[in-house]
Amino acid sequence: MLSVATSGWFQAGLLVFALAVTYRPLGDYMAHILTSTKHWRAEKGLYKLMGVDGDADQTWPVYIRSVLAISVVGVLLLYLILRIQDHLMLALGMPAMKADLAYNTASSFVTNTNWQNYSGESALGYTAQFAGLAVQNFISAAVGIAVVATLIRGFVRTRTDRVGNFWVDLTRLVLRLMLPFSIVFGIVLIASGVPQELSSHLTAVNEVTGGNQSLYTGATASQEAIKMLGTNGGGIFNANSSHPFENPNGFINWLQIYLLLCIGFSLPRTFGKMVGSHKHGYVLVAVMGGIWASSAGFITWAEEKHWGTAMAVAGSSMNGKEVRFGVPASSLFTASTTLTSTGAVDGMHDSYSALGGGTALFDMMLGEIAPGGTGSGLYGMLILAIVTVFVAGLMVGRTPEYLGKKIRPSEMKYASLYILATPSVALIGTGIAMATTTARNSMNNIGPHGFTEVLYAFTSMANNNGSAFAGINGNTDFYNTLGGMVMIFGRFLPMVFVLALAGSLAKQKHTPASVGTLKTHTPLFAGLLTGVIFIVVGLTYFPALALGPLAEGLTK
Amino acid sequence: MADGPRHTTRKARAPDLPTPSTYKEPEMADVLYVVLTVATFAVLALIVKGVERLER
Repeated sequence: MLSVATSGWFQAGLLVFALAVTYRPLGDYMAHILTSTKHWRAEKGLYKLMGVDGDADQTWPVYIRSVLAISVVGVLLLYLILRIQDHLMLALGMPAMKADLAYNTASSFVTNTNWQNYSGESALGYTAQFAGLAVQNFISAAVGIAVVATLIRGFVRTRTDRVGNFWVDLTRLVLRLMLPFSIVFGIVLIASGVPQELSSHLTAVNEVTGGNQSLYTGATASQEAIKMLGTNGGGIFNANSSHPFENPNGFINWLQIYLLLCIGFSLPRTFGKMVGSHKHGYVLVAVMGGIWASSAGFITWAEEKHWGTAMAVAGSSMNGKEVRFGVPASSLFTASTTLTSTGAVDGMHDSYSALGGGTALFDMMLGEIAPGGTGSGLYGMLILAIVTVFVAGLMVGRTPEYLGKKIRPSEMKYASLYILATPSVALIGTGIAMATTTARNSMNNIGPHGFTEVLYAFTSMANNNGSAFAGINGNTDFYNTLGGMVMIFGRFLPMVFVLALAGSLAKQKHTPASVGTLKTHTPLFAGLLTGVIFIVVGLTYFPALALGPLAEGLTK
Repeated sequence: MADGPRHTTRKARAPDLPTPSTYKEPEMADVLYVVLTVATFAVLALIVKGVERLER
């Protein structure tokens, strides 16, 4: 029998190995999806239905307007489904969702956040889960990859104002990537013990104590696959991946972590293949991997070694952990879910030590770039790479270039606006909540911990993570309404600047590298990029962190 | 048959499900949230237009 620590190391090692094995084939396959000139017959049929010319590319404003159009329709349609779910089939007797909660949930799933102010098993029937939430799980994940594809094309293309066709990218990513992978992994989950049934009944179980309980089992496996693969994170059950139906054993726990990381960690290969330099892909994946490993290691250390009487007696902090998997596997899950835009949880982040929970919060504050959400992680990392090249260019006094494109004032404007967008949304949301009596009344703790709960909530929503620190009652008119707006702005505002940057880069001609060009495929650049990530992004939140987890962690 | 939880199914509404809330929805709540959604995306569309101007 392996000790918990050995098991943790084994799981982490196996995860790195599996991700390394997947890196090349999955990355190359995604590059093929985004560059292929051939359309599948089913895709042609869908283009015809949508009235789209599959061979005509769009300018960046048309592309982002297409993203906004499908998203506003998605929010309104999902809102409608949730509001009338009591009239839909397979509703399991669930009542219609109240208006503010339906708005929050619709905004949440369309933006890939999957913040949940409801309990899935007691609020949603099958139709709302399938026709509503699951559809958005597929679309929102594909939208992120589509947007990063435009940025990559911006580096590849020259003297053009065309960055791709959103409807083609979206259709291909759903049909060729998300659907087949979800089906395969859904079957693996079913074979490993995750329930999958679609009856209109609830399962009645005779309890050991002699009582009787009706359980929601549902089509959990099929939902679980896209929940993790698309870095969505919305659980079928309130306890999310702590629930034994969603996460029945150690293998599934490991597989879930792998699924939420595999696309994010393979996208740098896609980038390298599309720009014609695999070395650049290796640099980005090395930076992502370094931050991810550091975060997982630090959270594990904080939970194993943090001060406290109970922790000292027990040997580690089991409070808030998934007791079946122990501290290392729970910490690995926590780091992975907060460094991507997943937000699924297999433990209670609110009950982690101040430094462990604070690290989960800091992971999101970094912009979820290691490896980040599907697509959104890579475009965040590429923007930071541009900032790094610019900073390095300032040091030596020459016009910075990245992958043959000059980083001029216009590109820096878009990069700066991108970096400011998410923290602004998160911190303004937190500020409004802390200044509002009604919102403060939702806090279940006072002092630094109470503040951290609110800060975590808005950071999670603005970064489209969706994990909850818990501790605050989020299902109020205030949090549902403000949270819905925060998620929409947190998702689409940065996308506007990414698309504008892509358009600006695509218009440029290719600038050949010279002796003075900063080499961006070296370990030195990887180190510089890591430094910029921590200084530029991390420090934006430092005052807020000082008031929350740092103050709590440093107070005995 | 070994002792343990026995699984059966039934059609009836589960007794431990929450009963419908007594919460009273504000009037015009749907209109408010539909308008809010459209307005939020309209602001984003305006920002796109503003960035386009910045480009020129």
